[in-house]
Amino acid sequence: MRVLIIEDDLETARFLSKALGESGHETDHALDGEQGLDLGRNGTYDVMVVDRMLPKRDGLSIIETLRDEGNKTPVLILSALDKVDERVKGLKAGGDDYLTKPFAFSELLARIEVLMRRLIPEGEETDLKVGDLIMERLSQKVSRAGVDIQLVPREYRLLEYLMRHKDQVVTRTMLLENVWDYHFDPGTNIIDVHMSRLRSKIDKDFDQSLLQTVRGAGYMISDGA
Amino acid sequence: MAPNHLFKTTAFRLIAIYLLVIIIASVSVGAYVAWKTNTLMSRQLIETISAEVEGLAEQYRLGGNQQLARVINQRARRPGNSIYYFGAHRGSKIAGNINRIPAELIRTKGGARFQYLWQQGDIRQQRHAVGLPIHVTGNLVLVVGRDIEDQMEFTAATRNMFLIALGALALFGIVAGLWVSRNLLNRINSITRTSKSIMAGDLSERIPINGSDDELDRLSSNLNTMLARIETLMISMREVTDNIAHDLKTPINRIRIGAEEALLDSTDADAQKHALHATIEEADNLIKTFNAILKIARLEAGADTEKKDLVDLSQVVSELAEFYEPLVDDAGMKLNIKRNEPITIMADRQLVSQAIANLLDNAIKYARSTDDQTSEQTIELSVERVGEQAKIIIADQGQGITRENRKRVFNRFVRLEGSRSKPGSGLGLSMVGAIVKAYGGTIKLEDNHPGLRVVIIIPEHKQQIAA
Repeated sequence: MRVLIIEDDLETARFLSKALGESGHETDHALDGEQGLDLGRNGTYDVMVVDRMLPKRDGLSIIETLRDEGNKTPVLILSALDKVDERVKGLKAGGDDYLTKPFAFSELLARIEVLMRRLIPEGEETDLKVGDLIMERLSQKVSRAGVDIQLVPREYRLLEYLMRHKDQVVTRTMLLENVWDYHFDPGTNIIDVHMSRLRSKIDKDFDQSLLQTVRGAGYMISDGA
Repeated sequence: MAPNHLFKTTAFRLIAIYLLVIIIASVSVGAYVAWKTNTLMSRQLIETISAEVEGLAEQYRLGGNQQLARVINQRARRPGNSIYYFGAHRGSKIAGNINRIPAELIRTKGGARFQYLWQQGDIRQQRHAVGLPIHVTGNLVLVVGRDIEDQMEFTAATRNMFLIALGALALFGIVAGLWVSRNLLNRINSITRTSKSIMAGDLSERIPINGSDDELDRLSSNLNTMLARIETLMISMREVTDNIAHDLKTPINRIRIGAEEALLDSTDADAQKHALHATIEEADNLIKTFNAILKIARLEAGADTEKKDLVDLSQVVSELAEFYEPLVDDAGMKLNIKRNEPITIMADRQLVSQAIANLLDNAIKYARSTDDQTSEQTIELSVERVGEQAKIIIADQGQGITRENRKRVFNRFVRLEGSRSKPGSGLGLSMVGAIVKAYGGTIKLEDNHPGLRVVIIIPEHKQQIAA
């Protein structure tokens, strides 16, 4: 997958290029807004990582311009501005996700990979499947190997998010933002508690663990195939 | 205050201009009235004289010179202000109460003003009159006139009165102007004095307000509000700087140590990795702390609360209860939530959720350590409406906070004895306090016998009933 990085801090840009390269992605990077817009227009990228405050042209203006021109490449906005309405502004301008600096690379990588997957038209599949785990979304029934699993609503929503992103790493922050819509740090390892509850319901009586903890990054649901 | 300072004020200048305009207007009106009255009186006089001349001409036609002379003498003897002369053009008078034709009337065709000698007893004086000469026959002339001395005196008296009134008006205006501008100046000077002392660095100074609720009072109170905002901002900025200096040095130093340790362990890959992971974790914590400090400072400065939506507290509480339930359960506690109808406030859902989340997190963290597994500690979370306020209560049965510490815990980085071993930054309650205050609410810590009872009151948003 090809990633365009528009970031004026050379150190950050170099680190991102290197780290994304090690994760198997090709990268280009632009150090100012004008160059970034040029590359974004003419290159073919799967994801763009755009810093907000850039020399020559603001990050939001790059995104707005590209969107006006019909460019639909998913964009992850990277910004030091962490106020709630800054985030809303970023998403309104056409960004698909918003990550505030400073960030952990694992967080950035997980989010980029989720955005890349968006390229494949998702379609509202009625049933989600991971191995022998099946979620029937119309009847809201979950079963594994034919055995019904009773989930409370929050467990159902959590599992639904994980299954929609199967084989992808999702971070604790992503779960917090997307399942609970909380954009603050709740302070404790509360996501882990939720995950262990969910795990005890779907994995406990089975040999194969579908819910995996990815060290230093987050969680992933996968049947390992 | 120097007098020439007073004359330089805007207030005085405005009053002077106002006064000048009033005087010009008064003089114009007075002059117009005088001119109009004069014209009217003169016309009336001429009409009366003309009518009398007609009457006398009739007498002449009826009875000739003798008849005319007799009537004139009759009329001349009557007291009043009528003046008659009948006689030759030059010299010999036949009848009348003046002895010759006044010089002013000799060459005129119509009427004219003249002076004559008036005599009564010993009093003799030159008086003004208006007269109309007519040639009767041959060189006989008839003059009919009216004394206008009284009218002129009246006019003069009126004019004098008017001028005196005008003078008094101007004088009064100037005095009032000086008084008003002096008053105004005093108040503006107090604003200037206050701003000078603020410029000199004393941000606690405020402009006095006299309670009249006039423009200056409102200006002063607006300026005071502005000053209060600036002062809060400055204080919170200063605190942030102090906090960074004191409380962030240690973690920064730990990061440094971690990096050095990784360098030392360069031969042992595992140890190196471990040191680096610890360093990253330390850095992450530092970032979290730093973000929290910034957020609190922004909240206290009112910069983070611009975005406001309708937030239903009952719903916020339900969602948080659902979110925290597994954690409470794992801690062997029970969460008791009470909420009924929607209670709406104007706020940001994230911030309100964060405030309550911090308190729940504390309630779980600072539970009493008890070996007695049978007595389950309960956390009570409730939202209710009290008058036009929303009241949120988070009560636990944990260690509680002693009375003397209840104010202090809202300060940044304050961690009480016995909580230092627990994870946390000492910023949780500062954040809660800042959020509650940002939405115009109050927060109180009370004793829950045992435990801590946090009571938050926030003004409810008055909902408009959609038509």
